[in-house]
Amino acid sequence: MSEELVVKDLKKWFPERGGFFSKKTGFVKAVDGVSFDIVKGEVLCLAGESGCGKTTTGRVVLRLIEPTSGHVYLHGVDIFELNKRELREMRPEMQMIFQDPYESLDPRMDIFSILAEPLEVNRAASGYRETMERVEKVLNDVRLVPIREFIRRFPHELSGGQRQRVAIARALMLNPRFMVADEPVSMLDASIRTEILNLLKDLREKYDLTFLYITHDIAQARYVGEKIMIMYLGRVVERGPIEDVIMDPIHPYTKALISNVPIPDPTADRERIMIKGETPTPIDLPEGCRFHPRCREAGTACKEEEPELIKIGPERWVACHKALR
Amino acid sequence: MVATPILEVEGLVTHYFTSQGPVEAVSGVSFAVDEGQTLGLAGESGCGKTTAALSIMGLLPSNGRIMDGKIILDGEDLLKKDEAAMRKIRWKKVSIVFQGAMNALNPVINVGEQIAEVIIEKERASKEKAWERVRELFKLVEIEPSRAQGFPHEFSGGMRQRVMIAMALALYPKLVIADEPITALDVIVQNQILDLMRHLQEKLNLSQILITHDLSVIAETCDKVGIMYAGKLMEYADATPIFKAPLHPYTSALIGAYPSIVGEKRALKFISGAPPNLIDPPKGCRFHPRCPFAKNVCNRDEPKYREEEADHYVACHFVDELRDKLRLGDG
Repeated sequence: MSEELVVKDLKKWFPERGGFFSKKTGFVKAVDGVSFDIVKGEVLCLAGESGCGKTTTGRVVLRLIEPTSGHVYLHGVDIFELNKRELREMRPEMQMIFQDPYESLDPRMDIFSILAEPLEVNRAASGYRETMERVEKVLNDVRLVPIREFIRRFPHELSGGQRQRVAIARALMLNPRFMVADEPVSMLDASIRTEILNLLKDLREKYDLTFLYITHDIAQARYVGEKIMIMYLGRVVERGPIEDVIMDPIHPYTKALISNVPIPDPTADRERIMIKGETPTPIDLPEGCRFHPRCREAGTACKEEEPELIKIGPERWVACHKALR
Repeated sequence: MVATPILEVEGLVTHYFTSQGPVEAVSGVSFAVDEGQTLGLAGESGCGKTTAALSIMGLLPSNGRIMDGKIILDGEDLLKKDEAAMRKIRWKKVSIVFQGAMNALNPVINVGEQIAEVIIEKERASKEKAWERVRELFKLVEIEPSRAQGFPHEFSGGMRQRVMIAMALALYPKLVIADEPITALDVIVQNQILDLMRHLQEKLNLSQILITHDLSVIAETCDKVGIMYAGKLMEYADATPIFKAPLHPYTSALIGAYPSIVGEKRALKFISGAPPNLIDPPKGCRFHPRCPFAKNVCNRDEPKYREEEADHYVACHFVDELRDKLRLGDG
């Protein structure tokens, strides 16, 4: 087993400005000490509620935004140590698929130009013929066929599902090895979603890809990936194989989250763990465990000391004082 | 006990007039909501579920028009009412909760005032009386009544949706239509809101229509379910038969497209293609271009919407042939 991606103690703090002259008044600790790794060829799903830091984590890992501190190693190379030129050279290997294909595609470019652009920018094709060949191959791979029918169209002439295929095709143009997908199907209707999810599964095999798959939907995570990592207020609370985490969640937050996932079956009967209130903003973080004000199992230690993410079994990690029992 | 319907919609046809021609957003839809019950209307974007709701409320945009049908609310035919009469019915008999609570609230007026205004205008209540009601409503939706002085931006997403529910209940209507009331919220907050709605329903004997694209939410909250596609009701029945023994290929595919965290991990179904443009809807069955079971008759004749089993309505030519194929089983 080789680790394709290793993330160590990643932090991203955004300065908070307020008051007269926009003085720095504090930090939004969007990502606050996150560590994980992804084995080559695997899909790690990153789940959590809005504001938990999952999107920021995805972007910092690809260095689309600069980190505050930490390390990200992609097949051994620390991408935070790279200078601009080195980073540009490494870019083709790591790509991102965004949530909203309406925003991530240039509306004035046709499909061919959208897909040819990364090749041109990186001087990755020898001429028009090779460019065309590679564009056609990728269109074929994302099943935008017949190719002739799509290649000269513009994004607004496509359906939401087709547009997301173009966005995926664009990410594939330079044969990446690692991809971050941030809620890639959440804008799409249910009947179309499945096609894209299945496509991503196929592409993963075909291109030998490793994925960080960001979603708020645990049922979708179960369909897409092998491992899951749950974040709460900028920290990882639990990580492990998806089936294990769903069947036997250990962190009280994970337990609540999973018990609240709706089930498409009116005869399903189960106990809901109701927790009070909503996630606070990551500006005024609670002392101790960030979840303790909403946790029904919280004890004294939880109010004072922040729990570390510790390994409690093969491939299972939990950040909870009560986990050691 | 025979339940009496609070709302009956019969053969509703609603069009939008656009520069490209009329859009048949709702074309011949019938359903009923029994007192104290929740009807779920589900379907993908553009299926007509919101248009059906706006038709009931009499709140269609200026290019929308109800072309045919009946809407009977608590014994009164709403389509025979003029705007002045509708204004009396809205809020008092039927109200609506929209998805984007932030857009529906005025950002510069405190939320209590916004609710009080409705009560003052509709009931000619005094300011004191109206505010008394506001505090009562806040207790009902489980917000500290002192927070009624707050402005919309001071509330979290879930809290704002509670305020919207309080507002919808301001005149204690019999029927509340909730259009994607929890869509933008996180699952834990979603359940808090759904739980509140269930609780209010019992307490006030409310009838509800829940409009959502999310079938798993429907499964957890609704007594009856209507599945819409391209402006038509494809299937309509109690929730359990809809999910366990659907009779329409669209229903079956849509339910099969939802991943679940329980049961065996299974391959998800998908429906190829996209919903049709309703300026020029497909002939015959509107679902036939995407239906894996379609035969010649499907693109020629429109299937009749009929009661195939007790209280189970469906519009498909091949109900008997497909019955076993569409069953989804457990999990």
